[in-house]
Amino acid sequence: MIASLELDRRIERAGRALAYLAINVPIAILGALSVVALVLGAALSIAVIGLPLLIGAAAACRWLVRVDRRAANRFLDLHIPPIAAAPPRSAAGGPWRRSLAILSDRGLLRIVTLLATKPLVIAVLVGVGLVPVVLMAVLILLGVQGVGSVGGVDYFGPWSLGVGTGLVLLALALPAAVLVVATFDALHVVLSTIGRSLLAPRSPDSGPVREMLAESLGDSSVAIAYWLPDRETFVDEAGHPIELPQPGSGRAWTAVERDGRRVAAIVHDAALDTSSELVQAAAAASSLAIDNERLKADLRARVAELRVSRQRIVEAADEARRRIERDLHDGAQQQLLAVALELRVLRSRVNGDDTVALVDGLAQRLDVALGELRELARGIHPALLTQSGLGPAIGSLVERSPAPAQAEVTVDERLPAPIESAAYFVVAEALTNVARYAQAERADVEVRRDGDELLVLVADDGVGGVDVGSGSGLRGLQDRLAAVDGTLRIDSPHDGGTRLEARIPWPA
Amino acid sequence: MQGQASSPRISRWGVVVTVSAVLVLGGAAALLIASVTSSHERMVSFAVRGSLNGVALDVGDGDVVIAGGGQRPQLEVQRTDRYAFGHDADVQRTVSGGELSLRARCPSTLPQGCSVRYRLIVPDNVPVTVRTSGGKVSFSRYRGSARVTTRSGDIDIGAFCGFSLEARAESGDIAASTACAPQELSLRSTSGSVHASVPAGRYRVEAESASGTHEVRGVAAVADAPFSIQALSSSGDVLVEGRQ
Repeated sequence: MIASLELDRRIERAGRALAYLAINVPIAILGALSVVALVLGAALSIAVIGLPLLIGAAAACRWLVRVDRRAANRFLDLHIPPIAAAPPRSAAGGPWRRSLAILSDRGLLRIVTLLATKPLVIAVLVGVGLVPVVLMAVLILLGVQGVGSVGGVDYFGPWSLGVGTGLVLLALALPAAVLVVATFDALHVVLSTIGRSLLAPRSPDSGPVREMLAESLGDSSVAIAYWLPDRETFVDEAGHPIELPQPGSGRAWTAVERDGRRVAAIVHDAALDTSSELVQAAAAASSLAIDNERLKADLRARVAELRVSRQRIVEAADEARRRIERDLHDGAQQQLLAVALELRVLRSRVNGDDTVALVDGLAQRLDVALGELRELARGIHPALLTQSGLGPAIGSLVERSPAPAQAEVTVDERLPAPIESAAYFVVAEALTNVARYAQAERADVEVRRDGDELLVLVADDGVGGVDVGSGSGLRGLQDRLAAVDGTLRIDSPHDGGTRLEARIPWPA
Repeated sequence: MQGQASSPRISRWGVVVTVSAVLVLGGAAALLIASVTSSHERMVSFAVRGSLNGVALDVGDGDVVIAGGGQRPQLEVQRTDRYAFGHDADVQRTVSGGELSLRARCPSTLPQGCSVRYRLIVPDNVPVTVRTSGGKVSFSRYRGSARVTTRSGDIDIGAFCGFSLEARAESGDIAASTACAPQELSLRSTSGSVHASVPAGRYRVEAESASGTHEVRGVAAVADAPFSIQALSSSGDVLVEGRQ
């Protein structure tokens, strides 16, 4: 009779609901404060103070929901997977734009809605839960007073509060306790329903294998982590590294192996762990498909890594060039200028034509050396490009070109440094080649925006017949352009004329 | 979850919960209804003739109203009892040394259904002492000397005229308005507010509040004035004002 009431289970569930409610009281209060701070921050974001407030409040909101989710997983057995972290945001733009970027995050809006409704929901549920608790407490208190004949209450209703009445009241505390358990047991169901509908993330976008697994396992939150053996990490479908869930987090994972080697892990609801044969069977059945997907994920991860490392190399090289240019300018060039000045002083002091002629000769050679040094510094990294941008830098390049050339640069805005240097060096290298080999009458340089690309065009009317593989200069250019996702096309027929065309994606 | 022996639609647990709810909630509801239906009100009046040296009331949670009786030869007492389940207040009346003592205590019952109210018409120059814990005390047009002490009850004194008025409250508010300049007006509350309203003139004034606001207006504070006002509160607001 008692066993069929399943009292243990009910009391345990009631206790869990109580614990979850207790944790949710501070969460509800802090959540309301955070939402108020967020709204204030958004309203004040025209002033300087708004943005930090907004960022802080958004972080607080996320943290609270994370705590709430963990509590729901721990106490309500909801197995809710983590809500995706906020996408990384660029630090560019004014405070308004950044505030808008933060506020337009749909994940954050869900979190804010959740936190804004929480105080009311929790207040109502706590109120409902308190009624039987207070009744039971009063009954026990009065019962003890009656039995022990202590305390200040003389009568309970028509009866004087003696031992008999006390015993009756204590006996009535038992049904009150049943009501307490029943109320919190019911609250468990209510809280689970609310938590499941509000906290669970929308199903992540994913490949066909995931869909198939989700369907066959009956767990829509299934995710696949692909194992990359050479880097010993798990990555998701897009190749981003991910962490496997810790035990006790409400999520569990099952390894997928193929021919004895680890291929992937299926991340799933911890409740499925009890039927791990099912997961194992699903894993075995899908291991080939998963291995294929793994290779794709591996490839994507490698490509992403390669891009980043190439960009790093070019940026490091540019940085080194800039430093050498600065050192030349501040060191050797200043020294030589000082020597030239002293020579001029010396010339006014010496007598005798021979000596004067000697000093003049020295001064002339010093001038040439200085000029060569400047040219060298410019070739390493043009200070003008860093300071004034593409237009002036290419203009100066054309002016100094030995071959007659003219430039038309219609890009006024500043672009990221790697793109600017790539465009600059394309023009510099092309003009050098024109002067050295082309025997051209004239060369035309054109730099403009073409759709969502930066177009750099250098054309001459020289002899043509350029071999791309021959010089290290052109290959260097290709590497440099590749680092910024650019392409280089050289059109150089043997019957004359060379056309060099570089295209670089316009930065978003 | 389905109990085999019980009805197929309601589980055994459901039966247990329903029975518990009927017992506890039904019992509580029945008690409240019985308390209301058995509620009873009784009014007792009597008069005390002859000269009295004073009246002392000690009424616990009961309310007290004192009205000035002018030149009447007698002191009139009107007591209103309200009680449920027949548990009425314990009332005592004694006269010793020419002083009338009235004492009333409600039994502590659950639900609380007992209350006592006293209404006294006191001739001039019969001193009054009132002591309550939660009951409210109000005076109107009383002439004489009075001492009032309450815990959470409010003290409201209107059109007082006499030698001394001393009012003490712990959490109750005190408001005193005098028709003539009192020789000694002493109002103190721990956490309640204190408000004294006196005819404009010169007084020795002591008006202070530890954590509330305190304000004196319309009276001239003079150190050697014959009349003194003391209005103190620890955390309530204090206001002393003179009427034109």
